[in-house]
Amino acid sequence: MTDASEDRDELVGSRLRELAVPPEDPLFFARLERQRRTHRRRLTVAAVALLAAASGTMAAAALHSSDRPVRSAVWAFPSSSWKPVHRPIGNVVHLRWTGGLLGPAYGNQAAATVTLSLSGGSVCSLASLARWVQRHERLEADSQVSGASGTCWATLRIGHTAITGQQKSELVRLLDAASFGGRIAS
Amino acid sequence: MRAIEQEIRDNHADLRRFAYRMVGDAADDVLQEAYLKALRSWNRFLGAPSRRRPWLYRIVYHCAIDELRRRKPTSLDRIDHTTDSPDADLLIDFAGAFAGLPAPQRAAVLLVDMIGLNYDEAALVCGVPRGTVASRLSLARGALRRQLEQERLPL
Repeated sequence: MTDASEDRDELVGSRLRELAVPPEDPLFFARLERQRRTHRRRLTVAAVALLAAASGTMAAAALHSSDRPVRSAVWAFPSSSWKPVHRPIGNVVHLRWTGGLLGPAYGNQAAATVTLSLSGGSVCSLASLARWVQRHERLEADSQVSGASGTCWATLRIGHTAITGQQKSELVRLLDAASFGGRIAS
Repeated sequence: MRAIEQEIRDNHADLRRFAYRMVGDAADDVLQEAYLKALRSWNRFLGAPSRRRPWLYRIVYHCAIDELRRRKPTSLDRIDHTTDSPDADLLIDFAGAFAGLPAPQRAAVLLVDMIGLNYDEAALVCGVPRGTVASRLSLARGALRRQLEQERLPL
């Protein structure tokens, strides 16, 4: 058989097809759908928390929403940990990268943690961040927010699986770009 | 139902067979991870409809390779080789020989000989040039042919 040919080895193919495959879990697609919803909710929770922090809203505001992901956000981020933050300056915001990725300190399997200092609100930058998380499907976003006067500190915990060096670099690049990419608030 | 969901449903049986021969008992986990990725990244897929199937296989292939990298090298024996065929013993030997092939060679044989993808599609799935697929196929088929000859099965 030459490299150029596209012949199939029918005997090999039929032998492979004859080999048994265990019966499928009848709930496979149901589980898939559940996981899909859970993932969406986690992403939304993270986005809601960050956006709320950036725009200076209080957790109480989220309580009034009937949207399920927002309720989850309230559950995940109790109102006692929320403090007012700076209002956005027009549409231009300052997203400052102040933290480091702490993953290696906990071993390769540890979640990576980044700390953002948000003064003002950046829908655009935060949406970029959410998109970054979404692009790396194996990573899950889980945020916690604690208050400090005048500044909101948001900790975005990414992943319950290992995060690769490339992903870390990419995240750092994104955050650096958001902070120092020419859209710094005056 | 979105096109990607239909594509998954249409190809699920073959994808599962492919995943099982690649990673054994972890096949359903691999498929679940792969399908979630496919569903999430579907809106960024810009290829022609004819590329959907190889694209889906590509995601499953990469998830399977990730799974194999995570585990110990000897865990391939988790693949169940049982069969109801009258040639059961021969098939079990064949399955053993197949499981002993390196993962990229197994993938090439599965994609081309079992699933029926052409060389270009298989190359797209594995992310290698067409010639590499041909060479992997040649090596794998050689090993399998020797196994079949040992068992005095006509090829």
